[in-house]
Amino acid sequence: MTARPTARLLSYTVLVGAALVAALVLGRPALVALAAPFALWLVVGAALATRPGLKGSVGAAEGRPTEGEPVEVEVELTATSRLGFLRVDLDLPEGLASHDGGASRNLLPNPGRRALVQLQVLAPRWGVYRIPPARLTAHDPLSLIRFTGEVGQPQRLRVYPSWERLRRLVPPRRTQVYAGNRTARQHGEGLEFADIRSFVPGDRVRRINWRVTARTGTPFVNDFHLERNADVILFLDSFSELSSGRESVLNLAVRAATALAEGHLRERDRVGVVGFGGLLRWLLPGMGQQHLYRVVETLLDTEVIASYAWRQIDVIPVRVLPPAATVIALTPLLDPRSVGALVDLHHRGFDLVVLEISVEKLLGPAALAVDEVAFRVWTMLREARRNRLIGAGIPISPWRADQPLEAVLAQAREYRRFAPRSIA
Amino acid sequence: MGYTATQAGTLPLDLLLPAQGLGMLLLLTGLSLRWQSVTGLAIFPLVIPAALVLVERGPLLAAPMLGVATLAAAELSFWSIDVGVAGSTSPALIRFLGLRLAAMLVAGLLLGMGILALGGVGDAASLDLTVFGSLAAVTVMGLTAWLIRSGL
Repeated sequence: MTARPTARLLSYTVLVGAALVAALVLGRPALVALAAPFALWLVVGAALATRPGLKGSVGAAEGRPTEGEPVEVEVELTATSRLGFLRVDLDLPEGLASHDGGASRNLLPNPGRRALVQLQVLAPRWGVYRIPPARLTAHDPLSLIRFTGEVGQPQRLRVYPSWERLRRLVPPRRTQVYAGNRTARQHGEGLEFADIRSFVPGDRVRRINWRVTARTGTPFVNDFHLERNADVILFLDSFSELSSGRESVLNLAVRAATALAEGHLRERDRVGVVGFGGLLRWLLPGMGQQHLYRVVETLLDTEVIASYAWRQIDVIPVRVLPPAATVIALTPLLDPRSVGALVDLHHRGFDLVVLEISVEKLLGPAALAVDEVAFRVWTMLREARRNRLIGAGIPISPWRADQPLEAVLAQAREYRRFAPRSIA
Repeated sequence: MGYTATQAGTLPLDLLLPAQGLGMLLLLTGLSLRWQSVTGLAIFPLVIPAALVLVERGPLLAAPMLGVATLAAAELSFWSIDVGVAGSTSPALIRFLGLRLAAMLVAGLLLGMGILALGGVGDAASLDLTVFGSLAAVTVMGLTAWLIRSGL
């Protein structure tokens, strides 16, 4: 720890020195009496002062905090010598704030005994944050020397996004071979009635439709739809970013992707993630509650990195895009590369749903004020990209920041219901 | 300031009171901006006029009282900067700081009284007292210099 004299030590010393010299020169003991309390403070302080021994660690409390929730950071300290004052501070990085002034604490640790300091920080936005080592400021028993130092190692704090719980999703067109909650087109063991057909050897007796059998005189059985799951790939366009205040395209995309992942995993679908942008990120499809947190952690790491490299869908590993998967793309249509990739996916036979993140709200009137012509050209370019997708038969649903995602999904469902199927 | 104003006698009040006013201003600035050094500096314009009045007019008994009062004011100011920030403070620390200040004030007052009592002895002992006082001054300054230099 670094030691520095306090202002107290310097001013008391000067005061005592001046008073004693003046008392000697003027022969006035009253000045000595005046300086006596200060002199006593200095002498006792010097006798008691020792270099403090402090050991400790920093750790975020267990759990998965979501954005806007206070997070408890614990600093464990053990002092090996007596101190007059100890202050523990967390120098929070950008994005984290102290909760109720809880990022600092003054305390008096007992020598040899463990002290647990709980500091509260708040992350208003999801993300991965670095919690720095705790900064310590200690004083000797009479506060003449100030010692400063750090304790602990930097910690990573993952703050999860809050998401909208979706009641209805966009049903995937094709199912996979694993059991799930979705009604497959294929017939077999299931709950959903599909058809009636003639009895064949091997059919269960309990499946015989007695009414039809009695009417026709030949045995008929009920057929059911299989209950299967689907593969859903969340495709995040992270080529470019646009933000206004606390809201941004990436923010909306990550929230929506989390909500979709949670909804599909609840339906026992397998969910994978592709972050398609300057940096390609992916997560292989998986299912279960644990996988939800894997998805969210992949989304937390998603960031917009500027790149001029022309990326195509070939760069995505084959296993990330299983055959017959449904791809739900979240894109602001700001970059032609992502539009090209989506058209490519569609041509490769993937069931594609595009949720267009509307950026007009994020731009506001200021954008128009800068250059009206440039703004109009930019709007037309986005319109052209949108038309390219629609022209290819890809359902596209615009999503404004103030609109619930549920409403956008309802729109996508309607589009898929009435639009001609372009997938064989 | 009250002591200076009432006991100034022939001393120029129009110099002493503005000096103490400057001290108050420095103290308020130091406290509001949380500058320890300015707060430490404020002690001098507050104490020097009072010390001048003390030397000029007395009474002698006021010296230890004035010393203790100044120490209490300075300590509370430093304390408010050290502790009085956003963030919570444990009750044990408040208790410790309070007890520390009270103990040192009592001890300082007794020491001041003792020094005054020693100052009242006859002329024969006055040379020894001067030597003792000089040694005490050197000891205090030496201890402090050692404390600053060693950085512990």
